[in-house]
This record gives sequence, structure tokens and C-alpha cells, in this order.
Amino acid sequence: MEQTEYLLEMKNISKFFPGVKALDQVGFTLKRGEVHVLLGENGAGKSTLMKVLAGAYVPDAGEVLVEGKKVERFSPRRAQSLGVGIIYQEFNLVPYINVAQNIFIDEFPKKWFNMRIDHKKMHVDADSLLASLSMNVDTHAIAQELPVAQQQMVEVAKALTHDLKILVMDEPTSALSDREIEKLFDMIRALTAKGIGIIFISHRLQEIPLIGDRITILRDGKYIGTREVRETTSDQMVSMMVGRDLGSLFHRDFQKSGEQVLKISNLSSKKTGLKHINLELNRGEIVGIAGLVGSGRSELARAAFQADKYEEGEVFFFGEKIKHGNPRKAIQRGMSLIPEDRKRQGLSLILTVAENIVLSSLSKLYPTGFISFKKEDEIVKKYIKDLRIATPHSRQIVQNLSGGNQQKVVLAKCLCTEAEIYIFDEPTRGIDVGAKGEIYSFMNELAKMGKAVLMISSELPEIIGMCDRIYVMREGNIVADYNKENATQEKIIAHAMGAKKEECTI
Amino acid sequence: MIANKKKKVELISSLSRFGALFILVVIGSMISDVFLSGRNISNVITNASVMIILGVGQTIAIITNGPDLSAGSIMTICAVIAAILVKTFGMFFLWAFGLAIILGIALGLLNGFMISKVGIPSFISTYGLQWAVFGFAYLILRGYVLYDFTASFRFLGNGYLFGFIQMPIAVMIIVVISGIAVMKWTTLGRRFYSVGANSESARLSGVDTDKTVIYAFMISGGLAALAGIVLVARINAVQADIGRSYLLPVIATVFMGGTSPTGGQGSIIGTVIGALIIAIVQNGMNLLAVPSEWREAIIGALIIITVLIDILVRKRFTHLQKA
Repeated sequence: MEQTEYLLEMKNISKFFPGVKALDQVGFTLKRGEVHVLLGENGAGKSTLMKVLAGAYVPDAGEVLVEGKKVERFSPRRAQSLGVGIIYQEFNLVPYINVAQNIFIDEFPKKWFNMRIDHKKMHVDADSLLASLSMNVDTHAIAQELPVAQQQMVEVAKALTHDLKILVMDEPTSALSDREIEKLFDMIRALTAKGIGIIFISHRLQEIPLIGDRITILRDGKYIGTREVRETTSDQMVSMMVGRDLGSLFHRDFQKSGEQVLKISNLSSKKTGLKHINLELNRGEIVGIAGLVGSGRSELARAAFQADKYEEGEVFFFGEKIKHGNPRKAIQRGMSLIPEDRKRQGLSLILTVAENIVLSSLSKLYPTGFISFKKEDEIVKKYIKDLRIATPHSRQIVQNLSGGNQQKVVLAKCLCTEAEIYIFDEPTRGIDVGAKGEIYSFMNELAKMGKAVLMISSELPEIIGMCDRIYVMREGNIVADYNKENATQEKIIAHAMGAKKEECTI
Repeated sequence: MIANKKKKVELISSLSRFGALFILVVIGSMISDVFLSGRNISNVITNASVMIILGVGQTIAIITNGPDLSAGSIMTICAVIAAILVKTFGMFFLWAFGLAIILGIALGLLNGFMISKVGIPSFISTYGLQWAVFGFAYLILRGYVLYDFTASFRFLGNGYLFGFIQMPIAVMIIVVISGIAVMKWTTLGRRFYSVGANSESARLSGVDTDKTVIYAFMISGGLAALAGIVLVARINAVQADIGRSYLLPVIATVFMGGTSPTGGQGSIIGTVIGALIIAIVQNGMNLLAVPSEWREAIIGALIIITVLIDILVRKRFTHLQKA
């Protein structure tokens, strides 16, 4: 019976967001009792695909079949009743109630004609569920007081209260120790033995052969291929993930670098997890920082910009040490940051294009404290023209612009301060290819003008295509640095993920 | 066209507010012949003046960070202090006013400091300060009423500027115009809006967010003090709870005026209209001799209806423009 060979089939799934094709005709299948690894860079579309499966997103095209039957009108509740369980990276436990209550939160066992919650039965049932996962967790413990690994087990037990057929685990090992990972894998094997299919999302190449049966690779929202894990080397996986052919977008006029403008020496911070960071940036350069999300790249950018405090180490602008820094001082001294999260950190969405563009330069433009609208219009119009910001007029609310144009407004705000150092944190995330190309050419222009650019990115092609030098970060450390000449995507990704055994111990 | 969408919705929403005011005026003139008389109109606006002076400060606080719940108490203590300085210590009234306003600004500074530097949400810090300040006013006055001030003191409440503008109205107009000027034409006003719209983005854009919040609450405190003085000069008496009944109506006028409770959006002119709407309805109820038991319920309904109309108008027009 061909119909029932697959537990789950997702066919030609497409999902569009304004300006971005998040999924472009992606296919995915899952068999009973298999662990199917979903692999791809940040933004490749893994989470979007899983959100479609969870019923959180309605796909714009394509169909989902569970046990051979087409599912119409997907919704979170429908997904649950079909036996789809999802364990997100951020757990969904209610922090202040106990383990048993969390496990049965969707439907408490009742007594007295459904009038009261049967707490006794709940704890007994929770105990036996956890025991079936060979877990020893106190069902009376408060969720937030448990270690991360145990919280994860509680999540799994919670998923098992429904008739679970498909379990999605989003980077389940990212916060676990080696020993805990072993336990998790034992549990996954126990689940697959029951015929449950597991979709395992991971960034860690070295653990894939230990647990995976098949692997599907996505890149830029597109389906790249599905392979048997046994027959695939990690080099092959990397080259499928990375792909090629974005080269034409990048144009860079390389030149000799000039005076040093930024130096970070031995910077550490307990709170943000940065460890002994050393970095230099010179005029005329674009320097890249590569690494996975959570490797400390943005934290490094924020520390350099004086947005976060650091306990140890020093930051020098133009050879001068910064003391008691804050973003205002950083801007006054010629630094600017295009933050990672444009909506939360980069823009005041409910204010206008003009108000956003001049916000960092208020004191410089209007030293008397009074706003000259004539001057403002001239300046803002110039940036709208130079950066080709698609907005009907300068008093448009920023919220109504597309992602690419919003990013240009943030860039205009930085240019308006006449900064010498530009830090771009994920400058091309969530914007379309056309706007990407424009952002790259602005970066090239800046470097040509003798400004210094620091670029953080998850997209290796853009790092390799644009940068003079590249630092690679992992777990708060700079683990490698490359020149333009010797950098390859494979080497960088291997360092960023710690695929090479000897580097894991750094 | 998405182009002017936001702007148009903004415009229509403020027009609807003017419209509501206009309709109320028409209804008022139909109810009573007295309503449109110069004397009555002047009275309505004078009554609304204290509310508007408070409202300007409150609008700035809400746009920047959150409501200043201590405004009523600051109003009280500053009025009490000004009255005592003049009455008991025989101080020249202008010095007394000045000192009282400085006290109001200082209390605002304390609010701003607690909110920005200590990190207590404005709702809690200003509410806490309100209790302390009211308590202090009771400690000073102990239930006594101070009344019968000198003519120079009372001029601020009962006098006429150029012989025809009542002083409270004159003060109110100055406050409103300066408030609008600050919010529209100064970098400080820009900073108020930017901190209220997105504090983190403002900080990363080099705005000193702590200082900005402190300034907003200093303005609110200073204007509360001024409102208290005008009120006492007008009613010619002060006791330890005169500001108590003003706080919630003032916040209501700000929201009726279309200022966003989450900050970053709003206007002083909206608050002025909100205050005028309340004043006209109160005046209408006086003229109609509506029983006092009904009045609060009517004001409550009015507040909800005004905000509701605003929301419906915005929704409707955003929707229309999308289609």
C-alpha cells in the first residue's frame, strides 16, 4: 500500500511573506519510526516549514498529507489532533506550575463528574509517562526550577498525552551537555521504536550520524535534496547547505586598508558570554563576523557600540580608549550600528521616515534645539534619493514600508550622523534580493570612501563575497580568522559549527 | 493608495474629534439659550482650563513613558505650599508661586528618576508618590481649610487679561501653545515621541532615554503645580484634597484626545478637545439640572463613546483605504 508508506508527506509547499519567498515548493516526507534530520542555514526555511506543519502558518500553495490523507484547513488544534507534537527551542512550559500540571495542561484528568481536577491521578499518570521515557523527574517540582534537560523531557511527556505520531524537535541539543544529549538520543530511540516519526532540526553536523536516518536540506527556502544519512559525509551536507551562485550580487572594489579606527582588546562579559575578544578594524575595510545565531556575534557588536556593558577588556576608537560608554557617546565619536532586529532596535515604527532618519543627529542638525523643517526636508529628501528609498514622501510612517526600505531608513539614519565606522548586524535579513544587492553596493561605497565596515551575517556567501577579512565566532569566542584569499564557506561553517573534533575543545 | 493612508486616517480621526465637539455645541445651544452666551462659554473654558493645564503635562508624560498618577497630589501640595507661604509667612505672591512650581518640578524629577534610573514602572512609582504626597499635604494642613487670599493672589484665578480674557484661560492658552511648540518644533519633543515609540531603538540611536523621561515628568510636575495654583486662586480656598478629583478625568481627556496608551503617538490639541468635551457636557448637565447621581455615569459613558468612535473611525478608514 503506497498510501501508508509515509506518515507525513508535505508536497510543493510555498509560503510568501512581504518581499520574501520563505518557502518555494518545498517537499518533505517522514516514515514511521524514522528520525529525519532537517538541515539548513538560518533563514533557509526550516522553521517556516515546521510552522506550516504545526498549523501556525497557512501555506500559500502545496498540500500536507498525514497517513496518506490530505489535511484541509490546518490549524494548531487540528495539527494536535492529527498527532503532531512540536518542541520548540524556547520551551512552552508554564514556569510557575508543577510538572504534572504542565504535562496535562491541555486536558486535566477530572473527577466528581468532571467538576474537579483529579490531582492524584494526574501525578500518577505523569509519573508513568515520565517513567516510559526512563526519566526520573519529581512531578511536584515547579517547571522553572528544573534544569533545561528535564524541562525538555516534560515537554516530550506533554506531547505524549495526545496520540503522538509525529514529533518535531527544534535544535533539541543546543542547550544540553554531552551526557544529557546521550539520554535524549536514548529517548528518541524509544519513541521511534513505538513507530513515532521524529523530525530533528539541528545545526550540529557531528551528531547527525548518531541519530538520523534520513536528511533533508533546505537553502533559501528551496528544497535541495534528501539523502540517507549513512551514505552522506558531512562535507557533502555542508556543500548542499551552502550552495553557490550568489556571487554575481557582490561587487567589491578592494583597496589597501588605512588607519586603524576600532580596536577591541581582550573583551569579556559574563552576562553576554563573550570571552577574550580581540578585533581590529581599519579604514577602507569590510570585516565580517561569521558564526551561528547565538554564537555571540550580535553581543560583540553591541559591546563595541557600547550598548551593553562588559566587565573586562577595552575598546578603542581612533586609538582613544572609551570609558563609561553608551550609544550616544559611540555615535558622537563616529560609530553607528545597524541593529539585528530592525523592528525592535533599529526603528521607531510608528514615527515617520524623516523623524527616524534624523533621530541620531538631532543635536548635530539643530544645535539650538529647535527643528528647522526646511533643513530637515532637504536632508531627508537627499537620503531618500541617494539610497533609493521607496516611500511616497518623507512624512510616511515607517511601518508601511517594505523590509528592504525600512533597512535603508536605518542606514540613512546612520549616514546622517556622518559616522566613520559602520556596524551592520544581519543587514540583509528578511529583505528581497534586489534590496540585498543595493545594501551590498552601499557597503562597497562606504569602504571606497575610506569608512570602516564591520558586517555580521549568517549568510556565508555575502560574508565571503564582501569582506576583506573574516572572524569566525562560536560560543562567545573568536575561533578563527581568515583573509579574503584563504576563506572558504566550508572552512568557516566547520569552525562555526565545531564540526572538527579538535576545535570543539577551544 | 497606501501612500497617504496613515496621514489620512490621522486627519479623519482628528476631524471626528472636532466633529464631536461641534455636535455637542449644537446640542448645547438647542438645550438652552444661555449656552451660547459669551458669559457661559467663557465659564466653560475657564472651568476646563485647570484640566487642560494638567492635561498638557499628562499628555507629554503618556507619550514619553506612561501616566503620571501623582499629578493630582503634586497639584495639591504645591497649592498648599503656595497658600501657606503667602498666608502664614506673608511672602510676595509671585515668589510663592515660583517656589511652588519649583517644588512641582522637583517632584516630577523624583518621578522621572524612579522610572528611568531605578527602573520602577511609571504606573507604580507615580502612584506610590501620590500617596506619599497626599499624606504630606494632610500633615501640613491637618484638615484645616486656608481661604481668603489677597487680591493679587486671586488675580490669577479671577482677573482679566486686557480686561476681557479670564486669567485661567490666558494661562491655559500660553501652556497649550508652548506645549504644542515643544512637541512639534523642538528636538526635545522629537525625543519624547521617539522614546515613547520605541525606547530601545531611541537609546541605540543615541537618545539619552533616561534624561528624556526625567524631563517629561518634570514638565508634568511643573504644570501640575501651576494648575494647583490657578485652581486655588480661582476658588479662593485650599484644603488637603483639592487635586484628588482631577487625576482620573485628566487621564481620560488625554485618551479621549487620541493619545496612545502605549506611547509615541498623540497630540496636545487632542487633549484640549477632550477636556472641552467633558467641560461642555458638565455645563450642559448643570443647565439641564441633571441630578448629581447621574452625572458620573454620563461622563463615564461619554469617555467610552468618544474613544470608541475614534477606534471605529480609524478601523473603518484604514479598511477602506486597503480595499
